[in-house]
Amino acid sequence: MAFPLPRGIMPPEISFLAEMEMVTILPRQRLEGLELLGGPVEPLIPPRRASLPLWLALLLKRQRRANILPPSWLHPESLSFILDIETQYEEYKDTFSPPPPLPGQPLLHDRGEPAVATPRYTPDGERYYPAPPFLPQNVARDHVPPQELQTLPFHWLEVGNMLLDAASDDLVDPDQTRRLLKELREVRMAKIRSGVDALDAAAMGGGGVALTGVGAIELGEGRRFISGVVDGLRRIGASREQARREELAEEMANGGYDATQDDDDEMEF
Amino acid sequence: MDIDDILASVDRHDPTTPESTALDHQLLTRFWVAERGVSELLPWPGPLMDRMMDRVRRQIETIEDLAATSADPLPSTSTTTNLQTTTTNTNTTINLTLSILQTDLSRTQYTLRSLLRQRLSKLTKHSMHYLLRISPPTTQQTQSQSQTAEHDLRPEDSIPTVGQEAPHPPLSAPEVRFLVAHQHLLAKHYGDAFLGSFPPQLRRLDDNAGGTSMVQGPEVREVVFVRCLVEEVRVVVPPGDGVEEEVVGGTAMRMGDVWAVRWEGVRDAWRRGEVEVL
Amino acid sequence: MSNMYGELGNKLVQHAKRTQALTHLPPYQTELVRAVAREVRDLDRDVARLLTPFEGSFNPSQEPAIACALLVDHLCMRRNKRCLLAYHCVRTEKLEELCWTGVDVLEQQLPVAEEASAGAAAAAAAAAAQGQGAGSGMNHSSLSPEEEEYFRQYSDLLAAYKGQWTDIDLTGSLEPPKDLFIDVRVLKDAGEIQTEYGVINLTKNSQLYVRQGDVERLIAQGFLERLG
Repeated sequence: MAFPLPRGIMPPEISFLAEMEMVTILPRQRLEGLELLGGPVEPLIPPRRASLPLWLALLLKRQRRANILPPSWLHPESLSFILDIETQYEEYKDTFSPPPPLPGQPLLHDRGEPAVATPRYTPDGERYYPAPPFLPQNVARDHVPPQELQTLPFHWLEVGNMLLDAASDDLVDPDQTRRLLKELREVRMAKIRSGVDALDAAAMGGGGVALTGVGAIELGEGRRFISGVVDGLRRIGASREQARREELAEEMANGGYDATQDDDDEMEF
Repeated sequence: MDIDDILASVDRHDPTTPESTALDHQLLTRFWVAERGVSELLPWPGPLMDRMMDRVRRQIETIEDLAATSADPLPSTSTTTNLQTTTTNTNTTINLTLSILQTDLSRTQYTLRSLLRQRLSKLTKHSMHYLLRISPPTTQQTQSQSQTAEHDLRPEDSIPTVGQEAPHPPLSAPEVRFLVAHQHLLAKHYGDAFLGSFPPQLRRLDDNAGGTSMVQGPEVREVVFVRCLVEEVRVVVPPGDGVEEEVVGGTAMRMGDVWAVRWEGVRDAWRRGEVEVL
Repeated sequence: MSNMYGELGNKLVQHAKRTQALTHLPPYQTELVRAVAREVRDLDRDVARLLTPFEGSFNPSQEPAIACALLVDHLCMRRNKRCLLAYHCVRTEKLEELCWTGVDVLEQQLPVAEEASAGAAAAAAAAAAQGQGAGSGMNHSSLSPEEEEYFRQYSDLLAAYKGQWTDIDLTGSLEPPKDLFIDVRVLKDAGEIQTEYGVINLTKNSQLYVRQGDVERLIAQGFLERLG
């Protein structure tokens, strides 16, 4: 068989994706700029900060050729704040705290403003809208505007764990950070499990079920469970007659000959 | 330079610029995730793949050249420790550069490999479905009215004929060749193993009597996970299911939303680049 | 009479199901396959026998009993076809899987020399070298001759497809690359090793950053110790 894995990227593949996130480093040595298949990498000229993909930052960190400057969300203060949102606010009791906005998406406090998506254009003339892991959600910023809400980026768990593993000395209070990440993980996992109630009929009218704010690994792990629930809800939410019609249609799609065949088979034995 | 600025300066006509490289890498990665997440075979991104394979080939050459440089022995006439130190330092830097280039290469090779094999797996899982899809309707009819003497009918005869003219979306040309050859191989195998001794009317590979695996297509009603990338996307419900015509969903996805939806409900939005598969 | 038909088909399906759970290929059920195919031909003859008196103008509504018998025959034939297809399909999929992982099942067809004499083992090796497989007379083969041929041709097919993507190594690992390069400490003096990037000197207690593939064997042999 050419491909043994099930449908949908799995956690090791998701970690691989997360390693493409850009992070900020403080190089300890010079290195010329490189033209990688993943895109150009700027030259390293200490003490100037540089932006690199996480996999490369970790490679350099492991050889003690650079230090990593963590993103603002990976800090006990920010994580406590986010944990509060996840647990203390009625609005987010069953859903995830809001994710960082996409380019052109209004920040939470500007909710009245309209979203404006600005596409890039591919060499083949198609529209392309960057999204994680290709947004600067994990680079270090010197100044975070005070009214800006801290948010967990899509690859929060992978980035958090990888930096704790390889660069804990570059983090503020790594032990507390580790504890808070663990707590966030548990709180959010519980939301996915009990999320059945949150997957309500109102969403069925829209044709889908919202999981906004979910993390990449959380999605990868919960994929099969969530699909099953959504499928089940689809049947419950529909009218009895429509459900019956759907069932029949699926049996036919999955080899209706089998269904009718089984009936006929009973004649033989 | 901000990533945004880099991307904004893409010269659409020059695939050799670093900015173009970064964008193609992002496109390839996103396409790989989508291909992994959907049961249906997605349209082969020919030009993108050509550009990527070109860059991979050139990068392999660059790495080989650099490796050859670092393997050069120290000049036997070198006498000063300064020169030796410099050469050692140069070698260290070359080795670091090589390890970075090599790691970067292996990452892209992995993505391409995973993508190609995922596609092959989808094709062989629903071979007859895709063969029928890419063969012109006329040849399908001709087959069923074939002049072949009935008792000579072989299982291979029920395989649709694919035209020689490329392209055959959503498959690439090598995929078409693989699929056709594989199906013939399979048909011959079944024929030699047992179908050949069957009554002629039972030798076909595209009938329901053969079982569910013969001409079954991929499941388009399966649940996929998508992120909305534009201001608003409405999920469609295609006709069927007791529904007469296409219905557009009541609530819309807003920018940044992540939803679990049926693939057929967002397939068109995906094609337009308005949602990404997660 | 209809109770006799279908049992063999069931047995084939059971074999197929069992095979799916295994990592190797159990022996091909030659006799069972022949028996199921024979059943199909018997049923086809029965259909012909039932239709003969009518000389091409059979009206089912006027002969419900015969129509019923014909239907049963047809259903049995089609079911047998399904069972045979399922059985062969599961096995070819397994063969393909082995092909992708680089296993040469044709080499493994010959018996391992457990109690075999040295002469027999040498003859087996010689036969393997000439690719004679099960035809050599020492037939412990799990594959039917048709399956051996399928494996050969599928290998060629795969090689042809791979050849269009040589820069990628299509049968390489499907695990995301991790730690291509690793930190190691040298535990004992081991002289020089040749790598893609030149010569590395392995002096005791020195620490190196090397390509994992280059040093895996040395780690296994205890010359190097992986760090971190």
